[in-house]
Amino acid sequence: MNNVVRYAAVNTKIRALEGQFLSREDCLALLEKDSVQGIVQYLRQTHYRDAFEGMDAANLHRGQIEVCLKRYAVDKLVRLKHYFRGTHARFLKVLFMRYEIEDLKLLIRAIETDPGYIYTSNPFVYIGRYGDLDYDKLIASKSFVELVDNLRASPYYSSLVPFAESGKQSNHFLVEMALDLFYINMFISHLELLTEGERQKIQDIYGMKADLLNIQWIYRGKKFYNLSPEVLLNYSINFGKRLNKAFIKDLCYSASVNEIEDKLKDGVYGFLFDHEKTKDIFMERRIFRYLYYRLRDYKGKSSMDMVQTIVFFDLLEFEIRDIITIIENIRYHNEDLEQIKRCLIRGL
Amino acid sequence: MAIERMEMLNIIGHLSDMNFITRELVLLGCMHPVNALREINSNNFTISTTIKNMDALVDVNFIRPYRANQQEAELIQKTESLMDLFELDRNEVEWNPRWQREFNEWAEDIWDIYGKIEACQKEMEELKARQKRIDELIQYFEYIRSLDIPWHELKGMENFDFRIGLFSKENMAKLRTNYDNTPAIVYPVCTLPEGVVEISIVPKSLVPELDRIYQSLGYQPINIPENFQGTPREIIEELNKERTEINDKLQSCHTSIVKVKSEYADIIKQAYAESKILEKMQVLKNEAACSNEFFYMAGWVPVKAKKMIEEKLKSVEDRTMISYKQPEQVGQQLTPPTLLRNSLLLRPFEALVNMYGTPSYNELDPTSFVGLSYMLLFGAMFGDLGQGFLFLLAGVFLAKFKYRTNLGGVLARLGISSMIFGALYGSVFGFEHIIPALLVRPMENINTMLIAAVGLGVMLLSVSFVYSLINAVKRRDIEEGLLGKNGASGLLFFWTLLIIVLLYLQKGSLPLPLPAIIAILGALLLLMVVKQPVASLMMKKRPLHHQQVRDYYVEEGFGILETILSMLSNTISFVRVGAFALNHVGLFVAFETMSEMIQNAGGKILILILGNAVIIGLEGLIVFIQGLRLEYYELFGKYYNGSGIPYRPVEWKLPRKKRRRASAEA
Repeated sequence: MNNVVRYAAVNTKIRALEGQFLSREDCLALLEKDSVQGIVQYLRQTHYRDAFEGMDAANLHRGQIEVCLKRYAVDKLVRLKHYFRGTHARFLKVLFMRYEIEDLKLLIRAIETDPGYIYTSNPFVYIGRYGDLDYDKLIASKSFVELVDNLRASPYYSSLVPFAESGKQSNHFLVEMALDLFYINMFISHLELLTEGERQKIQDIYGMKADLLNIQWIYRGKKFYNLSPEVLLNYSINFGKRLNKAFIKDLCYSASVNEIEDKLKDGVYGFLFDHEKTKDIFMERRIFRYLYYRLRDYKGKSSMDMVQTIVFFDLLEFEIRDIITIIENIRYHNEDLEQIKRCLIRGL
Repeated sequence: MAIERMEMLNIIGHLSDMNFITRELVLLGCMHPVNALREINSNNFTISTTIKNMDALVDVNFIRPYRANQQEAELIQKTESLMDLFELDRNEVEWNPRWQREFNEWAEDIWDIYGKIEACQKEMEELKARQKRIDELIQYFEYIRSLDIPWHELKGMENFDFRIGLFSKENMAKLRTNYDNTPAIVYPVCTLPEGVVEISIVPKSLVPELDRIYQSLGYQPINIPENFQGTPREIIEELNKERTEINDKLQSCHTSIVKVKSEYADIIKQAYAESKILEKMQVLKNEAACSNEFFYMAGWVPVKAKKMIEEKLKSVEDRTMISYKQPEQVGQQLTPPTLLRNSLLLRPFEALVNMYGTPSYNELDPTSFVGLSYMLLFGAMFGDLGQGFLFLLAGVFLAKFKYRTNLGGVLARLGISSMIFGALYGSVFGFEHIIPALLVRPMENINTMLIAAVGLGVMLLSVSFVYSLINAVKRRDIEEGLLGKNGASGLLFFWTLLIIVLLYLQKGSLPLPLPAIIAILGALLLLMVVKQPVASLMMKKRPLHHQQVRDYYVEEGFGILETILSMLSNTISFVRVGAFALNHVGLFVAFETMSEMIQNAGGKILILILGNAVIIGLEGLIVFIQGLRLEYYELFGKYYNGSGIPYRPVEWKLPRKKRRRASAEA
């Protein structure tokens, strides 16, 4: 099929969905609000009204609002599925695994700490709403081992089974890392389903993302958690654009954090270490903002291929993250407008 | 040809009678249960205040949902497992309606039999578990088969430890990049689709570090705590030997079970039937409520079943309160379920109706209309005496031998209709000159066919308007019934327009001056636009509009456009009936021409048979679907709601095979 035929409809749909993003004025107006309810009321006048349909705004708790927003995003993305067939549809399915994994992580934590949590607050954004996993069966799991057993038919089983030793509490860090790496490996291995051109573009954008995440991981792992170089290396993502395997290994085996900084300072990603005072606290935000503008650039450049769709997933996520940041700032009484603005991914 | 009338059955009885009453109800198979607590809460469950009912009245205060009896559930499960264990066919149950033993009696039988084979079964379970472990071990040792080191020597190392496990391919690659920093000798022994199995030898003091590194690589260790002598190859041989021994033991267990089976199979078959009835009884009980002394049960039953219920429950009549209530007395939130009742000719078409949605209790059952019109449409599109007969045969075959009563029934009836039209069109297996046409030859009268098809459409549409009107009257819905586009004004508009067009075509001039026509049609359209405020005025309801006034008129304004367009398209849509009748002939003409081009007589016949097969398979399917489309889209859209709840009584029946045999014997 011709690419124009294949992508004209979905790209138009995405354009329309992007038209629903909040405008700069919307964001500024949200910043002005002084209560969580005020934010919800304002969002109800935008396209986010669907997110709160049937909800009582006055009684919405911050956590519930987050769930509503994330579900809203998933609902929008799931609709894009109908525009794809064959290999591309299969690739899209992999992208949705991320949401499934986030839900699974919640469930894994809840099972061992607060088993009633999932029942009472229903925080899932994907499982039970979409996908093949059996919601009732999963949340009925009494232990991690049972949960893993209930996931036997799912693709996550092989990543989880090494941790499912009965009688032992699972190490959440290791389990979550295993799931995340599984997703990343799925993403990389399924790139084969795309065309050569698409693959190259994805390698370009997400290679950058992989670089940045690797730097953040190694830097933080060394500085705050004192992880061993082997562990740092094993959990790094093997998909970098500018930082090759040897360089990543070199970073992991650096003797100190300063050495890492020195190795990176003069490169493309040196901007992460520009501000001595805020490099730790704003590192994630800097990464996201850098990606945000890069992704928007890329969208402008690409036209009739799947890149538009894949990038849209991230742009929507960034917007939701920003709204959540604003809500958190209000909830925890941060009244310094300029400071809040600096926390947002999008520059205002 | 209607929807069966239902009444709400309320039963209050002593808990000691509960088993008897629920069993009778299950065997009668006529009660669609309703949650009794809900029914009580909605105040529908009334007990008249008389001295006789005093106990029940006092008791109501302690009411709670009925809790299923754990022992019964266990019994059902035990019977199931006995059936499995003895490998009895579930279709071969024995059941004698007179065999009404008390629950405790057959329960004791089951416990007895279970006790006899329990030890044997336990042994079998243990053997099977061991067999499973052996299979696992064999698999593990197969992985390291190439290792020519005795297992006990590996296990007995003093300063070194070893790990056997699986890495995914990605993680194995990662391990390789950092091999220089890994404190172990890593030796891959086997490649599997999901990864690489390796054995690592590590100094004992470095085990924790290795484990930490391996954990971050998603390492799946293979644990073999057992001690073995010999190399993996020898161990596999040993294990295989043990496996055969276990198989022998299992076999002997099996023989002893078969012995018990031959002795008790009949009892178990009967008990199994009883346990199935018990299971159904539990479904009823789960919806019941109970207090310390009484139980309360509610459910819908067809009016005609009332007599049978009374008869069956006669023996407990004096201490049980049985009352019935009309649907109107029950309240809005409990709608009666729908049971369709149709004549033999039309019954299979209920499936077509239910495929779209079950009619609601207060709606007109559309089955008769659907059945007749569908037969008409199908026959008109696919009129052929011979091919229709094949459909009839296929339908009868499906219904009788494949137990597809609905599909088979529909197919058989469509076949008959096709045969009738085949006689009218004079067509047998596509040939148009074997028999005379009783009515018309489609190909020779193309225009007649097309116009007649539209005429048929107008007729069917008008009937569906009437259905819509009756449904609106039943709902007391002035807005849609009197003023809506599918109600009286719609019908009037449709026919006015139609008559004007017909007269114009016939006489060549308009029957009324143009402004008058526009005024009449405009007035009808206007009525449809303002249906909501007018209906509210008539019913003396406020506010006049149920939504924002502006939105309402914008919506209705466009609605008018849609009404006109859809009337036109719905009517024209029926042209396809004529078109398919022509198509049917045309398709065969093509095959006939092909056969004439072939010299060989066998080839000719082959092409004709092939042609008939293609026509029956392909065109038959298309016409089937097109007919369904006309029914669902063009007609149902007008008058049918289909938001009912299907009537699902709790019942138990013998398996089909058994029932057939029983009726044959009778």
